[in-house]
Amino acid sequence: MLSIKNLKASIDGKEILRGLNLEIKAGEVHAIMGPNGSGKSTLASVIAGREDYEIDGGEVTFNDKNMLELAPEERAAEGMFLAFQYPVEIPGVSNINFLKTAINEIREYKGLGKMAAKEFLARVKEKKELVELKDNLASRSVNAGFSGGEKKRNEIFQMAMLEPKLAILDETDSGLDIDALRIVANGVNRLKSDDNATVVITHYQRLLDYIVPDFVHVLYQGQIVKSGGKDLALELEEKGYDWLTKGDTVTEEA
Amino acid sequence: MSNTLSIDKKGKFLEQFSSEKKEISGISKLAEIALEGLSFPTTRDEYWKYTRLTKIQNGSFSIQKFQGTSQVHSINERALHIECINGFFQEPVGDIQQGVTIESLLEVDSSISAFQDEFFTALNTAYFTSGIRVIVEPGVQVEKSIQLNFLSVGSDLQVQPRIEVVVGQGASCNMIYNWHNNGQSGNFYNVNSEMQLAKNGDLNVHQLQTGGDENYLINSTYVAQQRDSRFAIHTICLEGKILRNNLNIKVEGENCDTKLNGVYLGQGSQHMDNHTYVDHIAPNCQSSENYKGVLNDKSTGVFNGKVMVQPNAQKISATQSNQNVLLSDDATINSKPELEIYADDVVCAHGSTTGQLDDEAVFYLRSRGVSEKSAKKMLIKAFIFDVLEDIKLESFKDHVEGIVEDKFEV
Repeated sequence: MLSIKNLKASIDGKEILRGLNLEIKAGEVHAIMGPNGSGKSTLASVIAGREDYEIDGGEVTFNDKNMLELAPEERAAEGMFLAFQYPVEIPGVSNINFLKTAINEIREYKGLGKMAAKEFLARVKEKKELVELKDNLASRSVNAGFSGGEKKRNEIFQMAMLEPKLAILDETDSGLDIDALRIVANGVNRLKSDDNATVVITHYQRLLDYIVPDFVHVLYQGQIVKSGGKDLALELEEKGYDWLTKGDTVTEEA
Repeated sequence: MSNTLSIDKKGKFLEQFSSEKKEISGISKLAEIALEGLSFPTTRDEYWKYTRLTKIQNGSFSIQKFQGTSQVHSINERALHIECINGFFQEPVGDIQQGVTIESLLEVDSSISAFQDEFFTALNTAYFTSGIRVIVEPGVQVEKSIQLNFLSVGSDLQVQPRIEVVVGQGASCNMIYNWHNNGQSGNFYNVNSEMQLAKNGDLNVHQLQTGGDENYLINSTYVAQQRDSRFAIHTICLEGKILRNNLNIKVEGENCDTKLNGVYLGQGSQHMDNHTYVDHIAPNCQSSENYKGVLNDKSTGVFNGKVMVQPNAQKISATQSNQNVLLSDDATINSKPELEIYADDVVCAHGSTTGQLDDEAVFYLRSRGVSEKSAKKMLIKAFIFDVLEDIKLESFKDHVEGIVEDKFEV
């Protein structure tokens, strides 16, 4: 589904990703962990198409299409979704109206007609329940005045509405209390299917108790330095990252 | 030398107006005399610092009386329409409510304007093409909006309508000024309005400035408020080669409410200039002003808002805000909010901001599948949302929202 080969990216001349490789298949859940500054959020941003980054090499293909050539909205239309670490507040733009525009523009991209209002509203109702989003939050301005937990829930609500093939959750757990974490994880789990894949980027093992990954990767200095099963997360929790990041031999292992 | 030259230029400019008007009397005569002493405004004048009028000064404008049937362009189906074609008011279309008088203004017998000091006000006062007077009797609540539709048939015309509005004690009225674009060019609109609100009067004015990008509009409005009156004006600037609004409000009585809202959306090489002046003479009043501008391409915006609080005007609450978004590197805004306060027990606040669309917000929307164009449009709409939201006349608001939607193909 998603194939990243030798991806190199920089910002303001500073190298962040230094030859990153990752393969993700439909139905899989991958966790990407790593210390601060290892390039986790950069990876998410580059995949989603944030223009601040310079792509210095490598490739990102998604269902055999070269993603690096596409605009962010085209990537979304192809079925990618990024849940932001810091969801943006947009006063004056209503959640519902913007999602309606997004869904219809994605449908247009696929050569489909507009979604019927009735169908749209039914989807809103269904997905709102999925993330236990309060009634008024859906119709309010995007994230404006939302609490941290509400913002993250709104990300998952949008994800549910857009039904992506690949969802990348960038530190979705950061700043969440345990109840919000449970709700968010529950939403993600219920959206999981054999046809879609999820990438969970996180700092802490905690989230992985709720969203159980098939694979865990450790990102360090812009490369995946170790990959393993879900037990690797527990090992990291216990030992920290030091044992992986000591010495050049480790970084070159990938 | 240069002085003689500018006098000659002014003389030449004025001649095309004076030669068209035969008999002048009353206040118009005084205005004509005042014009002799007034010089044509240039960017050396503080009041016109950012608006260059050379194109108007060098233009040649003739009067052309429109013959034929008028056509009603409606914003508001529930309005009493008055067409003003080439600067000549036609008969109102529809029934006029009892207690409302709409009459031709043949002679100016009084004025609350600054015709002695302001060149274009004097020009209109002396040589207006035609005028109407709207009188709302005390206690009358005017049900339908009174809508003035300005359009021109032909090019290089001098279009100088004059409007007087008198809202009686306890009366209320909605007015709409609607400029139409028929694709003409080189027309010079010099509009002058005088609006008087008696005690407890209520007047809401809505202006939709869509008179075409090849025409000039200088639009001067003078308002006088007696005690307990409420005045609100919503100015939507969308089209104009040079567009200048001079809005002057004298709050003469206590306990008045004054609201000035404006939106200007500039593109191409449009020039949009809003000058406002609220003069608080009496105590215990409140005024609020909110102007928002979005400027694209090489367009220019000017905002100059002044709030004056006179020595006796205690307990005034005045707010003033001007916010701008520049969409291109070549767009310009000159923003100058001013407060001048001579009373010591007042609450006044003013502010001006200029920025760009939030890149983070654009990326956020795009990452959800919204195109860059739609994302920017959404953010622009969101930016001006509160100004439009403040328009109480729903039909006008809906109409404006539709036009704004179409306007920005960023």
